[in-house]
Amino acid sequence: MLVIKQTISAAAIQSPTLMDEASLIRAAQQGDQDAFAALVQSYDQNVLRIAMNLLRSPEEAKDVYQEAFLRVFRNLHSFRFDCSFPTWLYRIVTNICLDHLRKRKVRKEESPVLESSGGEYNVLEAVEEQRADNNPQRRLLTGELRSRIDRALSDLTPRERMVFEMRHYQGLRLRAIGESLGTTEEAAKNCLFRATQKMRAALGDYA
Amino acid sequence: MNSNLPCDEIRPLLVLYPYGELSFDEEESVDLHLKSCAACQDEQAALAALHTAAGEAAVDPSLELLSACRQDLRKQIAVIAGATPSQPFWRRWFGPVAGVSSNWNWVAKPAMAMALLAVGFVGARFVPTAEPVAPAAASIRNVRFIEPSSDGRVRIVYDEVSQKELAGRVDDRGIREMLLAATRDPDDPALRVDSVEYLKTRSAQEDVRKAFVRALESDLNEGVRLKALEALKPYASQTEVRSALTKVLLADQSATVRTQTIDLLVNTRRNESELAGVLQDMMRREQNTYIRQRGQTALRAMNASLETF
Repeated sequence: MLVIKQTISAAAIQSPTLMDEASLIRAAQQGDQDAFAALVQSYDQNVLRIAMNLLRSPEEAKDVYQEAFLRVFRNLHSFRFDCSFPTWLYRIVTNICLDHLRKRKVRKEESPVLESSGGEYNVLEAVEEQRADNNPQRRLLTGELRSRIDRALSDLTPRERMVFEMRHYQGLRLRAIGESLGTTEEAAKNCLFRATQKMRAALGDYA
Repeated sequence: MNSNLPCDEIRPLLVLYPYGELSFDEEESVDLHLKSCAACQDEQAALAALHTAAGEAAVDPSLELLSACRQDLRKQIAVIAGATPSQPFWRRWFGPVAGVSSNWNWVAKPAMAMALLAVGFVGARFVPTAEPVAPAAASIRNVRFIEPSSDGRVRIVYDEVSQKELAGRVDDRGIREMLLAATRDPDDPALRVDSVEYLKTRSAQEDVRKAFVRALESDLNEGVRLKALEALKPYASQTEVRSALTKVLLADQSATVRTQTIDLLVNTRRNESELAGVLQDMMRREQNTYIRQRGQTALRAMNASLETF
């Protein structure tokens, strides 16, 4: 038995996001879960992408997604429009991701090459295969280059990695990244510079 | 800014250069410097290679993962919403009656909105200190007009979204129509993927197939197009599907979609001369190495020239 819940008019007729974001936030603050859901849908793909690129693990990315939006749900009443909603959201997301990365460091699991019962298991490779097992361009990416990128990313500090990922993969401006990380644009810029230099050194002849 | 900056001052700027994070003056300085400095040109090329290499390692979460995340979040929110003390009174009050506390919906509940509206009017009329309470804001889709009333208040007429639930088998008419409508949902690619997934065993039906062809040809989301392509595989030899595959091979922006399309076209070849023409056309414009190789192999197998001249 299939159950379909659908807005009568929203399926194909009109956009459900005619309200501006501030109105949605206020409605969600007043307990309107539908407004909250609309907010989630506006940003959740980006949140998942950030988590996935940083952690390279669908399970961990899913955990980050849940934790981030649950924190948003619980704390939205305290959002005072001092910054933009995405900045506030990404601050939450980056903090959770940083926690994950730091825990990995502590557990000495920073390297994405993990041991499994079947021998060495490369998380990045597995993610790539899941995502693009039919993408020949990615299949052509040599194992050596892949493992160098892998190593290079894992050699970055959590903050360097965060800045690099957010700037490189998410296309966020350094100012926004600085705000998300609770630091200045200049500090984010320095972080990006260090990250790029490390990546460059690690990739050697490939870059 | 001094346009003749030394290399050691230009190098840090080169890192930010591809991101568009430099000021106008800084960018001018870099451009000027690069024209006359081979070493920094090499450095810039190396950084560009780094960008390309890092870009290759980027991962996009699948729509299935996104869908699973949303479902889990819905469940967790529903649990919290049933117990959070900070919930607004109306939701706690009406929740058990309307079932809101056990279901977190992506769209507005009409009962909630109506109840809220009623509370607002009652409050405004009988409780002098109470302000009118707005209906659940997300349920408002369009304010039609605003006019003053004689007692100094304001009268607002608006459209409101209402929600209904439909349960049944995929073949039931209502369910089927809703699923077909969901394949066109403009805002949620995960919903479009799910609806194609539910309908794909019904590809034999013409309207379903047409919906898939439309999704394959024009959906903005690559994941949805791939899902539609998968659903159309058993019908790849049919004229209208083949025509769509041809268009996609020649025009789709995603190399992944084009790759799967050429595989499907070549594996289900029906009219060799027609396919050869399509592949030759493709060879003139395709840049992707794998797709070109696949095209070359197929054309050679058909004893056709690689391109038309």
